[in-house]
Amino acid sequence: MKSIIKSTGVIILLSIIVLSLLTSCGGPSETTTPAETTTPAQTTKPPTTPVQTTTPPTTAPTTPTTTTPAPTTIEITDQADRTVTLEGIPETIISLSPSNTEILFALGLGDKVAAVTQYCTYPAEAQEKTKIGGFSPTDIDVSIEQIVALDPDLILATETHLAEVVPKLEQLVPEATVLVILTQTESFEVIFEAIEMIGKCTGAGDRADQILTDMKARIKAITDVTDQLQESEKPKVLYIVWNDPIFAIGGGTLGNTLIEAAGGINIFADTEGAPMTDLETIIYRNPDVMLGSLNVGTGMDMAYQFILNDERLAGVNARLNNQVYGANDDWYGRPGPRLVLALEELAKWLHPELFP
Amino acid sequence: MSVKELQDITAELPKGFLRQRWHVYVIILVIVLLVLVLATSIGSVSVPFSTTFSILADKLPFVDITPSWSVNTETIIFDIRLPRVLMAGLVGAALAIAGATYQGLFRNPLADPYLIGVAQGASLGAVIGFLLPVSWNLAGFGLVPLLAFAGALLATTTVYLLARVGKTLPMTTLILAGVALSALLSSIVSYLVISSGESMKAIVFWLMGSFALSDWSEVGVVLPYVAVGVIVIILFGRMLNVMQLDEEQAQQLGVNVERLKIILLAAATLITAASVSFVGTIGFVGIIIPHAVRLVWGSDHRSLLPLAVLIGAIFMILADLIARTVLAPTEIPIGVITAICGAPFFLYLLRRRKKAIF
Repeated sequence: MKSIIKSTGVIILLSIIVLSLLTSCGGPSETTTPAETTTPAQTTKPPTTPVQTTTPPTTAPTTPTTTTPAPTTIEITDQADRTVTLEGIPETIISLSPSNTEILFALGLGDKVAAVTQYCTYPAEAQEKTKIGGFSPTDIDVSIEQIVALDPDLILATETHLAEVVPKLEQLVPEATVLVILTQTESFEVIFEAIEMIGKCTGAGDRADQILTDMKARIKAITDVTDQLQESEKPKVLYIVWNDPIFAIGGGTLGNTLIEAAGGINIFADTEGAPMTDLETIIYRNPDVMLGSLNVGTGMDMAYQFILNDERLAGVNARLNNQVYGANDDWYGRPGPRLVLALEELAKWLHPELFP
Repeated sequence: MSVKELQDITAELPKGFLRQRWHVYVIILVIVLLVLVLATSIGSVSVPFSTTFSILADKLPFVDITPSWSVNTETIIFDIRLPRVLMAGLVGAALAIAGATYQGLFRNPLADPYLIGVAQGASLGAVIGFLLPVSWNLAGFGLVPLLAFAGALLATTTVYLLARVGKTLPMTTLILAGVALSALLSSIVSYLVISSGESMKAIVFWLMGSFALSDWSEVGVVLPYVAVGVIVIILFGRMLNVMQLDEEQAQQLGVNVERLKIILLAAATLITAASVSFVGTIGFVGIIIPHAVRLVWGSDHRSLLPLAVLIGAIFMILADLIARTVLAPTEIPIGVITAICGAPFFLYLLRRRKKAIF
């Protein structure tokens, strides 16, 4: 009886963990993603069309590109297809996810950020902000009363918060605008869209445009080269996020998109999300390059140490050719501006001759 | 059961079931071996049965087969699958016999190997191991299994000392102390898990249990504990028959009840702790297998204990086989399989027999 209860608890915990894992590593896009029909390869193509193409045009007057608009009420459709209104330029912003925090700071809005989650480790200034909890599918981790006390104008939530936190916030902090930004996406476009949307809502549209122009140019510089590669020239890549048991990055994830954009073939592209897999499949599929998660902040490097040292993987191509790397979780897993760093690093690892 | 019948049973202890129904053991033992080879030959990567068999046979002394297979295939069969299958068998056997022993000792059908704090002690030890910023390896024990093992033994020893009344060990007090300490420990574990931030993943996966990374060194560490524990339990466990009636009457029949309790508790706890330290807390096996054996072959502990070892091993090997093949290359947590397959089968047996079993 006890073990039944215990196992049920464990299964629930597992699903929470897997969910948060998917979130941090980019899981399969939800059906709510407006831009999900684009394939990864296409999304990384040069931005011949403006970002808005895949987005249902927002009803807001899209002006913030040139001047900071006068405080007006704008209506905006967020990435969960919720239509919300925003009055003027928000002065107090709360971020409920590490990627949203990174975007806000990149947009130069650090001073306006009132609170972040305990996982918001970048930039360093973010760590000094008030913590309103963790980043989990249940509201147990977010302190609603602390949010109420801070009296924010804008709250950047994610799809993980849709079920419980967002309704509660709408009810208890009615004067704040809650914007849902997707974090479980395989598409760069969705991330561009998120940066643009946050920029528009905060009056930092110019800065958002600069960031996006830079990101797209740097991504294009890589995909222009990797798009020319034949399948046979692309190394097979394994990317694990956890080692005991082994969780690999599967298809439909941001990690998978990064591997493909960098000119590699994900050996678990045939699976969805972050499958728990086994050693023998890895040996059989014989990756040429192996990536293991490296959490720089906490020093958790078990996944990387595992692929680097486990004896049973000694015969795999990646080990024979010393192609084992630690992938910084914060770069590879967070759908934010630093994704470009991940792509540039990965491209160098996969094709050192093309990207010196 | 009258005292007269009990004396009869005690008198014929050395003979009993083994002599009457030896063929049952032989058949089940053969099934264990078949399941072992079968489970080693099946996996997410397909390897022909003949190749598996050749690789395994080649490892036997005095057999030399010219390899017609690649080094990677041999790694898959011999260094990945075989230790994993053996580990599953060992842990299944250990949990099943420990469960049967606890149920016999406590005269309680709901007793399982985790009743007096083994799992919670191991979990706490493991969690501390994950949170400590060091890592090392001591005689095959990494930091996490070592602390899990220590935690399991420390927790049960505490329960034991708390429950002692003078020179006796009342089983009810033992259960109550076990439940109370388990609750305390698991609340500490919950707190640590919640506040562990990034280590949470690692801890939760550990708590779920998995054979995914079992290798030869782990088998080498767990095997001696399980072997010794199982032998001790089988040797002394036949006395459990006498204890089923009443401890006082058993005492009158010349059984040193207190000493017996300590020996059996220690052996069952030790093998559970050794298993749990490496593969995490896998549920259902310790409670369901002993009952299934009772339903089919009766509750005589002389047959129950050895049969629980064999059936437990078969069950766990098959459960792990399902866990790693059904959705290959994706694995399913082993605890989910033991619950999904174990519970309905057990309920079926229960309904079929429709009479009290315990």
